[in-house]
Amino acid sequence: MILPVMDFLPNESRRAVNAVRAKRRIALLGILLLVFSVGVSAHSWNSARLADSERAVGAMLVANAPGVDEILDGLAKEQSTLSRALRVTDGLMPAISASSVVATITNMLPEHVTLTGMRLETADAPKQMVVVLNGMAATNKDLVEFEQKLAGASVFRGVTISENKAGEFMGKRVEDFTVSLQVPLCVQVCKPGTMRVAKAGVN
Amino acid sequence: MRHFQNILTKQTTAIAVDFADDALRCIAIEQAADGTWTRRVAFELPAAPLDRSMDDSALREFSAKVSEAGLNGCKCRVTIASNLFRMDMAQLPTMNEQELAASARFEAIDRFNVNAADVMIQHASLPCKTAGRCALLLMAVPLLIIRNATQAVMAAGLSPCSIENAACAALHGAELRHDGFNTGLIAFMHIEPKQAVLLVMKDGQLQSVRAMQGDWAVAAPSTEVDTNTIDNSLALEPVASQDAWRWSSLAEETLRCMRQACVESNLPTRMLVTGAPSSDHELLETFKGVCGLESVSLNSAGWSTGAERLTSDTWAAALGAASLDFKNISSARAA
Repeated sequence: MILPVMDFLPNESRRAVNAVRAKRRIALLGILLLVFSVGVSAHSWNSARLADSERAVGAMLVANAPGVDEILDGLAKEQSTLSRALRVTDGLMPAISASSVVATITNMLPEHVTLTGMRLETADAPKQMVVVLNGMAATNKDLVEFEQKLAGASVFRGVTISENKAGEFMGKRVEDFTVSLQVPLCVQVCKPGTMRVAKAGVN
Repeated sequence: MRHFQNILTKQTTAIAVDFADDALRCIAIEQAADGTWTRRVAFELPAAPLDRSMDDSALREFSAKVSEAGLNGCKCRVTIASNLFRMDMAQLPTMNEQELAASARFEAIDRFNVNAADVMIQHASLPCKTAGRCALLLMAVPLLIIRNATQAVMAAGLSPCSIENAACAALHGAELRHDGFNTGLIAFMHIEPKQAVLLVMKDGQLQSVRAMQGDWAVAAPSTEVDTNTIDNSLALEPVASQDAWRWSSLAEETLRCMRQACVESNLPTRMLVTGAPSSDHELLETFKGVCGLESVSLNSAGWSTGAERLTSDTWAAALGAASLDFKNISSARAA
């Protein structure tokens, strides 16, 4: 530079100019800060109002809606009712029909053995069908044969000759007997109110 | 919003306000990567005399223009017409910078016969051939002028960061826009309406500064004619003449100044001219005829590009002052 800059701006004027600029800058920053604060406050107030409204709506819904305990109690009652109904249904509709049991036992009768009575009962615990047979056999040998056939069948359990005494039928000597046995039902309940599946069946 | 942006962001535009005798000029320029100066804003207002506060209506107009240009809050450089300055060359014994400043101040007060409390004095060291001596350029300007200029600029919404002599500012601009200032003996003349300043440079070093007062606005046909109120101005005879010789008094005084400045060497071979009359072919011809040197107009109107072409060569001071900020702006951009 041929000639250095000869600046005639006095120091006090320079300071005054800088002060004015600083004042403007501070004022501007103050305004920006104020605007920012007002904005944040307005946003917070809106958010708080919104949250209050949501809380009020939630409280109203809670107040008007049934309680969880009541719902659970209702469900428990319904489950109990369904269980009772299921037990009745189980009683009415056993897994193995009595006619099948009768037919099976009838097929196992030896030639000189006959039945005079039969009682079928369904027990809950353990779940089984209790069968009590009354009949007459020509000889003890025939009775034993009948008992062995029953015991040999896989579907019958606990085959027991509970009574055996001599009797007379149409002038001939016979052996009156009482045989008891159980038919396990092995019923599995998958779901209350749905189909039941029997593991053991009768041929 | 623009005001806030100007305050908070780094300034990328160089702005200058020129309190010239014929007008108040404001310019905002940007420098492109290739060195081109592009005008963003350039406007002229009626002249604002700085011996008194700027009147309200002028101030309002100035503020409105600044606001309209989106320059509110920007830093700017201010130039003041050369005729408001007192300037002289002095030689002092070699001394350190502090002593030199104090001595220069005393010398200026003594030479200009001014009250120290009422003026702002600055000096610049110049090369001196005499051993044990240093040459100084002394300048003084009334504080009232400085205060009025500062207040007007601040009231308009700008922040002045320097105040400079218009001729010196024009020299800065010319130095940046034109080559050849650093070699040989050349003369640079900045012509303002009431004063012409002649600077003689040798190999890029200032040798002499002379101010020539006169009614140069009257001589220049393209500028507004003003009544001559300067007591010690050169006579211009006749002022109404449209011939080339109306510039003869300026040319003759220039020749005398150059002879005085170049006592021990040849006269400059080239003269570079800025200012409103610089585009006057007759002025250049008169300089050539009287002083015997080639005179070239630096055409300050063409220093910058913009949407509208500048109408006269009166923008040299404003452009030169604004260009001082390009270095700061470039470093700010780089940061």
